[in-house]
Amino acid sequence: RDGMAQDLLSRPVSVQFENRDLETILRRIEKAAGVKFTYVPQVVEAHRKVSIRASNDRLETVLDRLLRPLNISYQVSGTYIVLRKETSGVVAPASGQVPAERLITGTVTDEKGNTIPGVSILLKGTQRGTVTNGQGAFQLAVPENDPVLVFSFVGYQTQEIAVGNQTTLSIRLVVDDKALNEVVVIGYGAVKKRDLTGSVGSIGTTELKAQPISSFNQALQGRVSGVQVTNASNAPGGGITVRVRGGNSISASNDPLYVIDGFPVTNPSSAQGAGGSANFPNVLSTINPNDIESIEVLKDASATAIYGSRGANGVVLVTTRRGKEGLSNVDFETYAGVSSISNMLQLATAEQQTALKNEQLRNLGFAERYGYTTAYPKTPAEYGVGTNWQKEIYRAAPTQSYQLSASGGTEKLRYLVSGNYFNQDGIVIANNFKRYTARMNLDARLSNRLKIGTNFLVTYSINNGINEAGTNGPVGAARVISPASPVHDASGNWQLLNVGPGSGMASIPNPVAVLRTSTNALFTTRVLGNAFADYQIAEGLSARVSLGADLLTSRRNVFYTPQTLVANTVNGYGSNGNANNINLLNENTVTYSKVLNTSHSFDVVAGVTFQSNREDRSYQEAQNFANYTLGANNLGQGSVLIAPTTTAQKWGLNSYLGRVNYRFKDRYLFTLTGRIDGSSRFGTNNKYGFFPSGAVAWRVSDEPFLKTSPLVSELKFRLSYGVTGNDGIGLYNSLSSYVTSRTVFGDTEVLTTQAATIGNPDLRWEKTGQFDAGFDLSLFTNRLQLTADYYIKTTTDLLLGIDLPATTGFTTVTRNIGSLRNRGIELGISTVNTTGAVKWTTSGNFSLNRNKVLKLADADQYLVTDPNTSVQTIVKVGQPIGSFYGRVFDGVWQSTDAVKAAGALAQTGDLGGAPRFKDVNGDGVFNNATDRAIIGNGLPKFIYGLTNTVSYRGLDLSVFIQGVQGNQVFNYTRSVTEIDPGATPLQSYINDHWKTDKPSNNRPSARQWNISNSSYLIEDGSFLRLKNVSLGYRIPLKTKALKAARIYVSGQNLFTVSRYSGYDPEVNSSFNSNTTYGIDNYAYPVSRTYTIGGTLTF
Amino acid sequence: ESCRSNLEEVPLSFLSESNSFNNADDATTAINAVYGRAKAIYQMPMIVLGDLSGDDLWIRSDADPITSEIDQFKYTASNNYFDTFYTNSYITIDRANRVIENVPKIAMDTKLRDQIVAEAKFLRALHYFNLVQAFGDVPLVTKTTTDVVNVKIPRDPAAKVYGQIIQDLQDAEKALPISYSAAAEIGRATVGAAKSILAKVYLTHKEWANAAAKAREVIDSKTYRLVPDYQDVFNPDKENGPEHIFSLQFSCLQPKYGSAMAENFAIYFSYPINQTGGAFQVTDSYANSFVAGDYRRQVAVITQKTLANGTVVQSRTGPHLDKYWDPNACGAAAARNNFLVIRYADVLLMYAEALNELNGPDAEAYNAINLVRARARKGAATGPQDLAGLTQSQFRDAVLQERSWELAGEGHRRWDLLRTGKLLEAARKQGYDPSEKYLLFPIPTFERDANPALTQNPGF
Repeated sequence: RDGMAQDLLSRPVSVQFENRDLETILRRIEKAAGVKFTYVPQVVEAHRKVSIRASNDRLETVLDRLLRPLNISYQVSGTYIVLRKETSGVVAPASGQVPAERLITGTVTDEKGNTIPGVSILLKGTQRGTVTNGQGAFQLAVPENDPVLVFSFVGYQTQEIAVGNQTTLSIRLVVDDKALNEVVVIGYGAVKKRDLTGSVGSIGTTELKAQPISSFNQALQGRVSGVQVTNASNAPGGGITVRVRGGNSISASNDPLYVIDGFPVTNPSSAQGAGGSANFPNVLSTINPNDIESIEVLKDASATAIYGSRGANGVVLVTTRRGKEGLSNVDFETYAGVSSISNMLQLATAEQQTALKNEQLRNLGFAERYGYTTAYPKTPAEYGVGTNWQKEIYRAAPTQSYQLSASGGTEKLRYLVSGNYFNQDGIVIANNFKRYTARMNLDARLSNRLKIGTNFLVTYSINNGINEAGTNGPVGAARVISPASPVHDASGNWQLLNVGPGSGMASIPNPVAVLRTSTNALFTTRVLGNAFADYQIAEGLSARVSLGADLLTSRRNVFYTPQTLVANTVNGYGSNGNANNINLLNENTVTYSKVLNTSHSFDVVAGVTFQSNREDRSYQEAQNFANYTLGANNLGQGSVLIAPTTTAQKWGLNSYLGRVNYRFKDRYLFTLTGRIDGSSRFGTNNKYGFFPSGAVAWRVSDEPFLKTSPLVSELKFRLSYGVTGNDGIGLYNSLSSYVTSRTVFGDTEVLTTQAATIGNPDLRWEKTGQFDAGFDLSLFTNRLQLTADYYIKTTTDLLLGIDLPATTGFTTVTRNIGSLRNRGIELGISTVNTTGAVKWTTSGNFSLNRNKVLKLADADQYLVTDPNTSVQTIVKVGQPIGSFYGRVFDGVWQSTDAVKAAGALAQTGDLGGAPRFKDVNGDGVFNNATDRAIIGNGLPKFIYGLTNTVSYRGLDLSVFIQGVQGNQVFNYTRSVTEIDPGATPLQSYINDHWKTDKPSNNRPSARQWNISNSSYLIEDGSFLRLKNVSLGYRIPLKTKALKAARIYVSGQNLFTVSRYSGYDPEVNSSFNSNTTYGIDNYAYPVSRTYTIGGTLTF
Repeated sequence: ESCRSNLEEVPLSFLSESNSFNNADDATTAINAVYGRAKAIYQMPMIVLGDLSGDDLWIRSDADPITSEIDQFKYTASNNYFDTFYTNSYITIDRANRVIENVPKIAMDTKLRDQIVAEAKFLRALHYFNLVQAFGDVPLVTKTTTDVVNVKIPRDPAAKVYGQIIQDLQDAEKALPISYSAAAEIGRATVGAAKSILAKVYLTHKEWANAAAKAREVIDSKTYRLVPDYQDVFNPDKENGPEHIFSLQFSCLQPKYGSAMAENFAIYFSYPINQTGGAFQVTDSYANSFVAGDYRRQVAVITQKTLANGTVVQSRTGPHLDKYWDPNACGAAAARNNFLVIRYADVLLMYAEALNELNGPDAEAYNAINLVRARARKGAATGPQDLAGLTQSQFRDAVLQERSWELAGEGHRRWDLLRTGKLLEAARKQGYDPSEKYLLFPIPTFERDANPALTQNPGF
């Protein structure tokens, strides 16, 4: 400990001040020497003006020179240097009536009972005070008239104690882990949380590290109120839907803007793959979650308006870790885990399915097949259980991550260098995601005025994906393929056809053959770097210039051998796709901070930024391969070469931005923000847009009437309004276009040129006006903290792909019509339940969003047909977007007599066992076209998350529950498996479908009833999930080499409470669409993961 | 200034409207696109609408219940096939409109320019002819749409649409060539194609004299003749032969250029890998309608097939149509068969039909139908013999029957039955009981959602 003190005191310091207040000088020394002072400003009279000059002198010498004359002594306590006035605690009383005084003694400890030296103690309302000594003890003379002592120490909550009649005090300080002085990153700057006027949610490393995730945006799931995160794919590195305060848009992007270390990144789609290779990679999986220090989500317009035409969907700011001044650390972090499917479905056995096929043929009046034909002489019973395809393709899949990072710094140079290797196997065989990342963040102080720095990231990832689309993908195929079909045929080759020719089974590829014999690899390289320089022009005024580039290249190789159904007739089938995205950014900002006097202070930022992007894509495909070993690495081996396609596109954005933060008496906070964006995306008639916002906040708790309240430690009201835009409309949408393709005359290929889109020069950004009212409340000395917000967002000039009558020659056009509204409530609560040896805290969040279409252009509704599933949704005034639209299932016709009796209420051809649909319009006639209604919606009524953490000595336990309530899922998988027994149904269908001798009102008979687009397929999507439980232990060993060690075990997705009949209710297969939310088109299932990990700090 | 250029939106990899019609090559690629899109209809959609809702073909309802609704006269406006047919017709028409509007402005060889415009008019007329027969009144659009707001176009009377069809075909026959020789032009519209389609339009419109005259012009041109062997009409190796007046071109140059008929008509269990195809079949009544010795039955109707590897495949579900068998198909739903829009046998039968309506069965009428029948008996003593001594009404029935034997599965039957007023009667003979409303197809629901100005046909 003495060695530590000696180390601190011998650090070299250079400072030079003439007639400056002591506080400023001390602050500068703190920075220069990397130390922290603790003192009571009133006691040491920190406002006094002094002069000091030191040039590479030892800190001890400098402090002696500075403080001796002021009668201030110092003492090193841990990493702090405690300053104390060297008079006795008793101040000579002024003349006149002397109030009676007495001497108070006491000790100050932390929650664990350890004494704290250097705690400052001030007699409230006076300049009298003292500091605890090395043993945490103090003594102070106080007057008799109800003295109040204020105990404060950095990192702990300040406590005020009414002394009363006591003469000895035992004070226990509580760690202030959510200190209001915590700095929150906002766009183009950072503010103290206490000064925040907008609605900003944030998560830190704790939340990021607790889970074995491949992409950082997964960490937002259930953690931040107002933010809904849905996995579009549960494959490693798979896509994610993130919605901040609901979806604002119908056809433009609803994704938030991601800003990584100040760089607004784009997320272009990955390189193209051949047909039947569709998967949903997450471009943000190129960022290593382990490198991230914090993620802030800007939600209201006050916070997002600084991002102008890109702010409407919220902004996610990612701040990566940087080196800190002080000792250098080397951290080694690793974890390993194993994942397995969280829920296997109970599917029909081979016996049941073949029997069901026979039953269907019988129902249709055809001859039965299994056991009755020469091609299929085996009876259903002889097929037995058959192949368990789920067991064939799902596995226990390991994950591993290794990270080595070094960080540290001096006053001149701070650094963080890290390298990470992440390897996650998917729970589907052959599915794997690997990532190599290296990061270097540097900050250098070249002079007192000039700072430069850089953030630099290099990533290479390989995503061995699987086809995730429909029944041709392994997940869908394994779900639908007959259990009567073997993996291998009698001669040991892969079984090509589902059961065999003429089996009556759906044409489904053998999923094991597809996985084992085909390639679907996505290689992604990302280099994201920027360099900046900060120059202090004058006191409070500085300028910053940054230059950055985000280079993102992806290549996709796809190859199918003839052992798969898709390539069987073409003798091998392969493709290469390349996508190359270059994003360049230059930002020039000026910031000015001024404190006029105790009443007025300003922070101003203004800037000009330029961003441009170019994307080049190419794609080629070949068939009929002489040899399959080289696959897509050598397409020239194919003898049928399909004409390649290439595209190039560019966009540019020129912006002017400004923000003023004004604080009056530190209690009344005002923020004005504006940004002008000029964007190449918009039509010639609308190039520039202006996006302003304003906010006020009132820190009621700093008003005199609340300041001393023992109940309320913090109360702030916030109010904001602003307009932001959404430019996520794709490129060149305002222009009409002609495209080239090909056709044949005779056997000669010829070019064709045809109109592809119809132009619209009036096209412009969507505009979202957002009002937000909220408050932050802390009670019982921060034991209970509550943040609540209410918002209304109205989006106008909605971009809609309007169905055009075919007579125009087109089927759709994009126009700015319509408006919609999102309204919602967000609550965030955190409590400190117990302190002391066992510390238990709870934090929870709750979000409720209501979406409503207010206006559409020429009609009051549009139908949207999902291209992958043909599921229909409706966009209708007065309704939330994406309501499922279709027929209302109303049980099963129990007999042909009942059908006859119903007359026109039944459909032609209905008989006993047919599904019955409601005559919605009540005209006495059932009509498939007119008797349709809204039958559900994929948007939840509310979402929530709850985290409990308990710590005891070195142990910490965290339990995280997350849930979604009140949404519906369109289970498209059942529309395939319950229309024809050629696709394997669920066990529940076998047990519950209508038969002559065993009627049912839930499931129709096995025939071929048309059940598509009906409420028959709508299911409750609500769920509650034990998302994560983790238990960590800080090993109390300290050696010369090892500073700290921690190990932990965690479980992810441990259990889910849901009534959904598919793999998982958290599903959104058509995640690129804003209007079809919650369709299950054989989505990659959720996995349960157990992880063990550790961190060593050297 | 780089700042300003940052905001300019210049397309890098696609053409804009302004630079798409600059030279002769542009005119050629634009007309190619019209043919390209026409193939969206002249494939299974034309067979579903044209043949399935007649009495020659049926589809197994277990294979495709939606399509079966058309076969069984139970269709509703939401049936996808109507939307496919309607939408693709109008997109093809729009492409033709663009050629008709823009190509005349191009400085290029005037003969080629006029020919390309004539091809576009021919294709536009062909699609409007399909539309009026299918739906009755339809919107008549002859200009490129540029406005995205005022697009709710109501239906025009069928008579007005027929007027435009006849005008377009009359324009087309003036500028189209007799034939093409370059490989990249095989299959484009000729003067014979325009005259043949015009003859059919007149026939449908009951302008008997005009119909007979146009058919006569085609016959007298001596450009076309019946190929001696009926099988060669359908042989993928003998496409674009002397009998083929106009066919949409399909090829196995690449599977994507192939046609889907082969798979859909193949004997069940037979085609290379299909498990779902092969659902289209001929009805038993059709198979049994032939007189003994008719070579066309031998060619077109089968109940078993010997594959190249010697395997004999038996049909389990009755007779199949074998016209589209392609032993060298290149993939699922991809074979070499062209779609035969009109061929010489059709013209001969139209000529006989028109003459009979005009004057009763005269010698020329007998001659025309007997040419077709003579080929069908292939020189044998049995089979369809030359007709003689029929009343006008008997002759009318004989032509309709002959068309069925000759042209089944080529997309004609419904229109033939409609034209002769026999559709409902034929449907009843098949055991269905359609009401009058089934004489028209319904305007597709999807289109009426997009365009509320469209009225629905009665009863739908």
